[in-house]
Formats: sequence, C-alpha cells, structure tokens
Amino acid sequence: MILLWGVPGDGPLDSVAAALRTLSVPWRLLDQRGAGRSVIRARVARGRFVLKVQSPAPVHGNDCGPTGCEPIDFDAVGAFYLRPVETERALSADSVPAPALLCKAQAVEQAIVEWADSAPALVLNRPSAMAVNNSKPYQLRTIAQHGFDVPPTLVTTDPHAVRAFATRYARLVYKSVSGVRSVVNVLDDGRLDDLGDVANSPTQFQAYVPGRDVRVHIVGDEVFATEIRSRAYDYRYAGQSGEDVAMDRIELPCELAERCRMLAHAMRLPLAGIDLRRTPDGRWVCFEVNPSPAFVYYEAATGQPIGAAIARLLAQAAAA
Amino acid sequence: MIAVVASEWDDAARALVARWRGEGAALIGARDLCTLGWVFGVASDAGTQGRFVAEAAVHPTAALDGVLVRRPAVAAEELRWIAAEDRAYVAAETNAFLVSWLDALPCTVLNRPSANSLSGPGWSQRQWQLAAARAGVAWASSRNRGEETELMFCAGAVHGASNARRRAAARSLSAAAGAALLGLRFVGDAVAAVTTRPPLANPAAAEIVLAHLRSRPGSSQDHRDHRRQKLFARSA
Repeated sequence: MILLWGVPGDGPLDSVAAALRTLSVPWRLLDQRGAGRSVIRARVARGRFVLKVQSPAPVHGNDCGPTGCEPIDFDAVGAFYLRPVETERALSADSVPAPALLCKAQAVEQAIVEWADSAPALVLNRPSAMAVNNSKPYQLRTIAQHGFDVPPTLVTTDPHAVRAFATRYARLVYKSVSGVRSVVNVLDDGRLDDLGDVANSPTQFQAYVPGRDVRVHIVGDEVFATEIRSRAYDYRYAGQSGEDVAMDRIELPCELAERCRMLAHAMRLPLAGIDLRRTPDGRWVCFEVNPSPAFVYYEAATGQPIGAAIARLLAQAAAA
Repeated sequence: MIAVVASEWDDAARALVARWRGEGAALIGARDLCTLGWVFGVASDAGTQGRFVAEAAVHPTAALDGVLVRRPAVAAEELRWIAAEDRAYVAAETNAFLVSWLDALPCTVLNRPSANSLSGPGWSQRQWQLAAARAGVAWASSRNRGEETELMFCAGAVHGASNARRRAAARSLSAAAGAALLGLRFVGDAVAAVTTRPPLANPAAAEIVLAHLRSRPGSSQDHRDHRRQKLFARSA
C-alpha cells in the first residue's frame, strides 16, 4: 500500500493524490488533523518498529478496508509520502488546541516519524534526512563536500566581521540560519552601518551571486529543471517587492543533472528541490536542497509532471 | 582549552567546568550565543579561523582542544533578554548555528551533533531500543529481573558497573548511534535506558571524559553521522 500523510488541501499532497487516482494501485491518505483523536499501537519487535494507527478523520484513498476506517497497519506500507505541517496548525487553524489534544497528537506524530526513519519502505523523505535543512550552514557544508560551488558564507554575531566580509565582495545578502523566516534580503550600505542587532543572535551573510535561478526537482532518477526569471533577490517573495516571476522548463547539461542526482542520493533524499544559480561566467552555484519541495508552484508554471513522477515512484516501490 | 556547551542552570556542567578550570575550561551558555564575538566561516575556514564566546570572553576557535555538549537544544524560554515575540525565532537560529559550528570543529566533540540534536542522534528510548535490537543487544522488558546498574561509556573506556556483556552492549550502541559518549542503565545485563549526556558527577568518570577531550579526533572512536545513517540504510 502507498500511504500519504498530511493535511488535504496542501498543494503537493493533493497533486500526488490526484496522480495516484489515475494509477491502479492501492493507496490511502492519513489525515494529520485526526492525530489528536487517533489510537496508536507502537512497539519494537524482532528488530522492527511495529505501528498501527486508527484515525477518526475522514478517509481518502482506495485502500481503506471494508468499513472505510480500518486501522492502518504500517507493516503493509510499501511507500510513504509525508507532508506534515506544525502540529498546532494541523489541529486548529485559528485557535490554540487543548493541551491534552496537542500532547496526544505530538505522540502520534512522533511515532509516525520514528517509523518513517526506520521502515524498510520507500519514504519520501526520511525525517532524519529532511532535518538537515533546519540548519542552512550545516546543509551548505554538506553540499560543498559533494563538489558543488556554494556562496561564500559567514555566520557571526560581530558587526566588525560583517564589515570585513563585505569588503571582499561587491554585495552581501543575509538570511536566517534556520528554516524559520527564511527570506533572502540584500544588505545595503545603510544597513551595513547599522548592524548592532547582529550581536543578539548568530546571523548568516553570503556573498551575492549574480545569475539566473534554476530549481531542479529530483524524483528518484528523474530530473525536472525550471529556469526562473525575476529581478527580485528572492523570487519566492517577488510579489512583496513588486517584481514579476517567469518560469521555463529547461534541460540541464548531462553532467550537471547527474551531479544533482548524486547530491540528492548522498543526502538520502529521493525527492529533492535543489536551488542552483548559473552565473554570467557559466558557473553553477548551489544554495540549498529543499527536502520537502512545494513543487506545484513550478508544476503549474511549466506543466512539468512532477506530482505524477512522485506517484509513479511510490507505486513502483509499493509493488516491489 | 575545553568548552562545555550547557545551560547556565546546569549545576553539573558548572561543577565540571570548575573541576577542569586548570585545563582552561569554560562554559558556553545561551547568553554567550547572543553575545558579540562569534565568527564562523562556512565551508571555507570552518573551525580554524573563527572565534567563539564562552563566559562572555571571545576566544579563537583554534584554541579549542575539545568540546563537551550537555544539552540537546537551546530552549526559547532560556532567552529572557530577547523580546518575547522573538525568542522562538532566536532559539531556532541559535540551534541551527550550533549544529553547524559543532559539526565543523576539527577538535574532539562529545557528542557530535546531528540535525535533530546538539548532542548525538536525538533518539527517543524507542529508537534506542530499535537500534539495540538491530545490533543484537538485549533490551530490558518489564519481565526482566536483576540488579539495576549504570555505566558510562566514552570511546571504549567505561566507568561504573561493568562486565564484558555490558561493555559490548555499550560499544555496539555507541557505534550504531555515532555517539562516542553514552550513559546506560542496565537491568541485569539488558539495557533499560540510554542517554548521550551522562551525569559525570563522579570524578573518575569526568577524568575519562577529559582524557578523551584532550585526545586528537579520529584517534579512537570519533564517530560521525554517516556511521549512524548506515544503521537505517541497511533496511531501506
């Protein structure tokens, strides 16, 4: 069986579910919103993590048992695609959930995460592999170790170090060290003279790399490359600065496509969104590898069948 | 110099730093992480050209001989000097920074961080139990009877109620987790609980850890993440 986990309405989850409907494979969606009222059995037996979850949430999929609400035996799961949101957000979009409900939901989610990290199934992606993205410099070092150029990067609480770093490059950008508030901003001259707040928390500065952004989605061995044209420093938030975004599907040079596959493989990410930039002098610089890419943004703009590729990968693994 | 990454409220950590003061030991607390002086060049001069802050003083990173990590994360609630609405963000930033900084250090780090924890893999007891099962190590059930004992394991050296089976169990779990320093509780010879942050109140246990912190990484068991990842890759 193929199992999806998340909140219906999430773009990538819906895209994969829609593609699965066109395939003759058993699948089911475990709605994260039911976690606080779910019943679980979790134990370790004979070197395996045995997990059963019964959720009261509405059933989606074509493999839901005779009553439509049979418990999910995770032993039967051959492929798993997970897109959970924060527990509080899943339980209630506009109010604070009751503490007991929140604790129960977190325990259920923790059990599912632990199963996903140890199961013999194909998991897109294992939580321990995805967690690397919570520290951008940690991930950047991993990317560099696999042969990609990365932007010169400084993390500091020292304004003097920032100014010294700025003298080496034409322009700097700054962004969060973690995955929170992850927006790229340019450090203009006015801001360079007013860096007192940097002492309050380690802040990440990078040399600005000019060029054209390319998002590469890896799905197993398949590669989908999208070129993005925008004048914004962070095209994901181009609207906030009044800029436009245009996207085109492109073919990567074979050697680069293979390097992207190898990077995703080395990072244990069968599904990945790799952020590259091609510089005017022809270098490819890698900024980040997104382990849970919101691919529908690119899919909608280019028509690349990324959700269908994920569904096929899941189906192949579940049938194996 | 030895650095201990811990909460300022961790009495055991402060006692260790006092004991090791002759080694130039200093505590890196949450307040230090929000103090002017940290410099970390990612993927370039990582770990050699930088600076860090301990007990409000700035030091060259190259001066570090070893780092003991006694916390899984920095909690937002600790950051009382940060505006309340920014504490969760600053905690996330601080943790993300520490993971990358500790991972890049060329000196001995007990334990090396993972993406899930500042000290070791950040496993729940259920995940330790699974690792034990896969490594052929007995895990205590409610039916187990026997004396309850504790053991500290540090890169092959042990302190506590040791015998060959317990030492072998500790060695297997240390390798599986990629964590050179472990504290284990046994019921008989079966493991009942594991931590990557043993108490170290006993002077002899602290001396074992200090000796390893002074050693060069790679000389004994400087486990890294890839060792741990292999455990789970085996069944994937």
